[in-house]
Amino acid sequence: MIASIRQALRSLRRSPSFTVTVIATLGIGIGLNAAIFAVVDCVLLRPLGYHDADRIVSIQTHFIDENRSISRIGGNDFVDLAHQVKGLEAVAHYQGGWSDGISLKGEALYLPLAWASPSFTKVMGVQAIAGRVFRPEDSDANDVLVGAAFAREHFGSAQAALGQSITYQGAVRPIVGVLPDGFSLPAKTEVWVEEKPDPETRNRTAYNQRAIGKRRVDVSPGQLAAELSSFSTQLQNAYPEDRLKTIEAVPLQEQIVGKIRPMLHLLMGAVAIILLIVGANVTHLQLVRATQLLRSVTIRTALGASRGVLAGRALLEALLLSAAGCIVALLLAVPALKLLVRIAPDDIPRLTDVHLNLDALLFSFALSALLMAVTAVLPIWRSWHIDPSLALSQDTARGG
Amino acid sequence: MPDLSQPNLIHIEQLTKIFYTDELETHALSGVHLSIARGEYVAMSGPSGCGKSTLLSILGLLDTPTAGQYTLNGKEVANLDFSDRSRIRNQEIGFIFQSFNLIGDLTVFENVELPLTYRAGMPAAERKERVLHALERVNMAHRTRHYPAQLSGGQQQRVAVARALAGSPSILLADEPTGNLDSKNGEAVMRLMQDLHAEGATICMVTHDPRFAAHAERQIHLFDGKVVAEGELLELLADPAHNASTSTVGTE
Repeated sequence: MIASIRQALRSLRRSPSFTVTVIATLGIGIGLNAAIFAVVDCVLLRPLGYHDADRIVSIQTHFIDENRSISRIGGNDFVDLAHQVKGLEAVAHYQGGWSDGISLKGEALYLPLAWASPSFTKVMGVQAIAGRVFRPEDSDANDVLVGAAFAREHFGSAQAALGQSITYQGAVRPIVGVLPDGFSLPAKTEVWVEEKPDPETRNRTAYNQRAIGKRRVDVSPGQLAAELSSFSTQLQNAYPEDRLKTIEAVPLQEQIVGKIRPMLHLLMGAVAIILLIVGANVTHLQLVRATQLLRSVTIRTALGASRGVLAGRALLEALLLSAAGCIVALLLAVPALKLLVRIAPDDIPRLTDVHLNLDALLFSFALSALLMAVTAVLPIWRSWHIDPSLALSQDTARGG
Repeated sequence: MPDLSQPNLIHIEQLTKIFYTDELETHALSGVHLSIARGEYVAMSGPSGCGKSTLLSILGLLDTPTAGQYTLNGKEVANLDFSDRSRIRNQEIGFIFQSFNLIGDLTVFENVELPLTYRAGMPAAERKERVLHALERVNMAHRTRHYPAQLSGGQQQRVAVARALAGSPSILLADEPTGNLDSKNGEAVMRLMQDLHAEGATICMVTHDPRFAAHAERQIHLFDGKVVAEGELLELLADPAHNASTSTVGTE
């Protein structure tokens, strides 16, 4: 096997234009694909990195007459939900995620900030890396949580942030805990300011807050949907302003990434087309190479090489090229991914978590190997139909 | 010397080969009968287009006949499928080509080893031993790491002979082995062939050079796809009616 690899490498080295062109073509095609896949994998495919993330739901208001939903809920609708819907073990409301001004150690900062009710951290299942999270029973609602990066930047460490305070909207608020890196709901939030358990504005048509809940372990999504449907009917019967709306629960991940799914699918489609072009180019190059190798393959066939041997040799070359192409692809994917993250719209969630992971590496290698294997099929098929007697006719100009 | 006590190594009866194209059928071989005994050294000659290479292709299982029987080493091999022909070709036949047909990407050692790597189950140590032994027989053991392009024509043909010998085939089929060599190297290769024959090798060589054909102990003459006697060949060649030696028949 080692001798076969050595011979295949030598053969490729002796065809530098073919080898370099194939590796570069593969590298560009697979590299783009790996970068896009890394984004899709992190944003769309990976489960949210929260405890029991599959049980966290986003509460939506659906307007029946307009047939549209918003991921917000009216003030008193939330209060009724929190008290009446038994399929949820905890509910919380929050808002923000946009930049606001705070004062820290006498310095004014403008950063992404959110307000969240005390149950917010319980629903999300997040634990503090220093200090504590919000207490659901808190009613004074004055605590502040900060992200780990914020703590490092402004206090040197997570532990050093504890006992410090920030001033927000004229009130001094203690930092009681530091949340781990990677926790960012709403997206990019660095500071979470505690709010009271019930929304400040109770109006059922004041859709100021988002709401999340954690489905009970023993309640299925279908059962929760049925309970919310029944709950919505009660609201419709009790309150005129709720007559044309229902309350729904969708997985939090769907709420976060649902809007950008079509765009990412479109991007994947574009990259698939690029892959097709790469495949066509590599197939063409492989056929040219097969023509160059015609004499060698004819001699091998004449000397008794079976079709399996011929295919094995071609596939070994394809595998070596795909491995080299994959390495180039990954070298290109790193800057491509950085560029992609930089130019991506701000509203794409979890973008800060995007990186080339093992899945992206395996995906790239599998794609590269598959592409090379597919493009090797036609040359292999041609090699199987070479007439071995050409070994003699290649010899002679005479027609005897 | 031929071993007449055993059945013929090669026995051919009524062998026919017709090449079909859109409008023509070309009779390259027309009912050839031929036997080659073990240990025999046979030279096949004839004018251009007489069917020598076609016959050699069929003898070497590089091609199949249109009709007729071909027995090699006691086995009927005329109608084998591709994989069986490949296997028997690899085990029973050693080829020596006019233009050597060495693979430029492989070293001398690897070229000689190549047909042995196609034999399932042969250990690497045995392959190495066979390769080195074959290269020693042709005095090329000192060039194992060289590439074909680094060798002279005569040296390349000796390597090709070593490649043919390494698998211990039943028969060596040589197609104009001196065709691409100068007279000095051509003579050297012919001496090598004679030495191999003296050691017991069965050889069938195609040549149109009477000097080299004379090295063989039996000469077969082909004309118009048939085996003919030497005297008959001379008469046919003198006949202007036989300008084109291969017959073609229109199919329309």
